[in-house]
Amino acid sequence: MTFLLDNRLEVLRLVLEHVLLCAVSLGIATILAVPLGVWMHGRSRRIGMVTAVTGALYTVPSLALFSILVPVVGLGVVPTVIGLVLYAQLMLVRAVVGGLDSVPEDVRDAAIGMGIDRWTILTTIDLPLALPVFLAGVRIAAVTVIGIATIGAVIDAGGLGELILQGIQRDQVERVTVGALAVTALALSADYALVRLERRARPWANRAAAAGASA
Amino acid sequence: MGDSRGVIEFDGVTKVYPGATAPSVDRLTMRIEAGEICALVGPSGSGKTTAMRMVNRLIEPTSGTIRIDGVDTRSIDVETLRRSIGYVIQQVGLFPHRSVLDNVGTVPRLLGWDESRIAARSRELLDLVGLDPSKFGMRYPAQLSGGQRQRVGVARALAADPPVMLMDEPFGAIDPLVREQIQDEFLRMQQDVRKTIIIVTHDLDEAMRMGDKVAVLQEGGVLAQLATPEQLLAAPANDFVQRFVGGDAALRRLALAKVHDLPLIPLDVAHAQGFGVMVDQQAQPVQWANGTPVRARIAIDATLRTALGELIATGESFAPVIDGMGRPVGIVTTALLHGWLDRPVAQSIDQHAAAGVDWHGPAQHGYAPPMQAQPMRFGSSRG
Ligand SMILES: Nc1ncnc2c1ncn2[C@@H]1O[C@H](COP(=O)(O)OP(=O)(O)OP(=O)(O)O)[C@@H](O)[C@H]1O
Ligand SMILES: [Mg+2]
Repeated sequence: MTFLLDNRLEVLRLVLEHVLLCAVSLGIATILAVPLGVWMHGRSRRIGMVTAVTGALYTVPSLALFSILVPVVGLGVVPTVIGLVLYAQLMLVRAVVGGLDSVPEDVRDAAIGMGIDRWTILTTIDLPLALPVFLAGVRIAAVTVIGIATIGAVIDAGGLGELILQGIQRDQVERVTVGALAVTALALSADYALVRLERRARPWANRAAAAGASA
Repeated sequence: MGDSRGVIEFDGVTKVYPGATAPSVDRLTMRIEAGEICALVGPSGSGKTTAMRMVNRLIEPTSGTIRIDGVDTRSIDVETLRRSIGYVIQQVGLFPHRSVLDNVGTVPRLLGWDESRIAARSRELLDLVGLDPSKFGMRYPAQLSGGQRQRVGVARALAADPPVMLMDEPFGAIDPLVREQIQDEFLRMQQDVRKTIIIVTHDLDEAMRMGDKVAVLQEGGVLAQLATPEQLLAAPANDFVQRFVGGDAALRRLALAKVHDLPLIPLDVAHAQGFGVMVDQQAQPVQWANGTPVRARIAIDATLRTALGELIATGESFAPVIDGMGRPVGIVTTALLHGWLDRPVAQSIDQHAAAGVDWHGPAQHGYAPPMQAQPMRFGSSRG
């Protein structure tokens, strides 16, 4: 406890670094996953192809992946972010495809039949309706990425991994414990926040459920 | 919106799906007049949905042409075409994340109407389909019953006032009691809006109730018969249609006509022939001239099927027909019902559109059909 009080500024800095690292990675991963998922949706060949590649990447141990990237892009944040983006890809792409799959076929049929153009259907019907399932995927990706980002400390990316790494090097159990607890707390809060967001993304279902419960 | 809008013509339309060896719709040629409901019936897989979806080009024909008001649908931009055709499907396909009002306003919004006009129109349509806009307008589709959702689907299809509507088993998911009610409401609404409608169903009763014409498709997407409901039952074009309409065709036919369609025996003629009907102070029929009580009274707007049921239930072979006030206006007999079934009916619409109109009833009664039936007071028709 005294350790935390004595080093609260340092811990805070590392927490922020960690959050930033993960948020940027998830942001980039989402920007890549959405068009990729849209491109794959409903095409089994494409889904097979992309899942094979991202699935293979997912099996590479994180330390190994980061180390492979270091000779190419150097040490620090860049290889870590690249690694995290690649890890998140598998989950996010699946989440986009799953989300689009969850859009009822009759809704899409009615939309096309009424003469709504493809782009408008995608942006105003498919994507909003896919959002809840997609966010469920983001949740899993976020928790995973927050955990794996810890390894980034090994290649100088900063974040809470630094605390754990230093603790091990200096044989300071407290340091390791605080680091580990902080990562866990971060993962739990991200999970909680995204659950909330997921629920807010489907107001139509909530109100129907509320009406059903009160009836 | 004149009556000339919305004529749909199928001209040798064939659809062979990629990879299929046989056509799903085979050289379909038919014409649906403006303001008419054409029911498309047939067994599962006979190509009803395929035929319907070719009209708004959700499916492109392999060959042949579909014209709306004489214009080849292929020459119209596909989205413009679809926005001018109301589209209703069994699962409704309401947008779950949009309010009921927003759902109804979909096509007007696509057409670039201003928001206040869209709002006014959406409310008007909810009213039209019997949903209070202030109660249901802001709900999400998940907060509606199946029947209410279907009404919203119909309102949404009508929003931009399209001349043509396509409906694929629109009432199929609704339980039978509510279904009949919604069908009736829909027909009442159609009296005002006069759309040209293709309605797909595999429920023959629904086809008979809703259709001005019925197109029966048989396996392989071949049009077996295009006829009025009455013609279909009276003169099935082939064995397939015969089997499809089933063994109780006679009863179904009787259900299609009302007692006032019959050349009822006028009261004075009945009186002269010895079966005059006596009325009480309230002008209600109570007994026959020979003193036997009147056991059955048949409403003038009842179906012939109901009339037959009444006659059989009471063991009578004739009964007074009464108006809305319960006053007798004529006599109906089982012979008249039989004569109705026996009269010549053409097999299709084109051959003889007005089949049955010049029929005057069984000859053996030897009277001219009355222009109107006069009610008779006790003793008033003596002499
Ligand atoms: N997208 C498609 N690809 C290939 N074949 C199809 C396709 N859609 C329909 N078919 C085939 O075309 C035929 C007609 O199908 P359609 O859906 O038009 O029948 P339907 O009369 O509407 O039947 P139901 O009453 O079961 O809805 C069927 O044999 C069906 O298998
Ligand atoms: Mg069908």
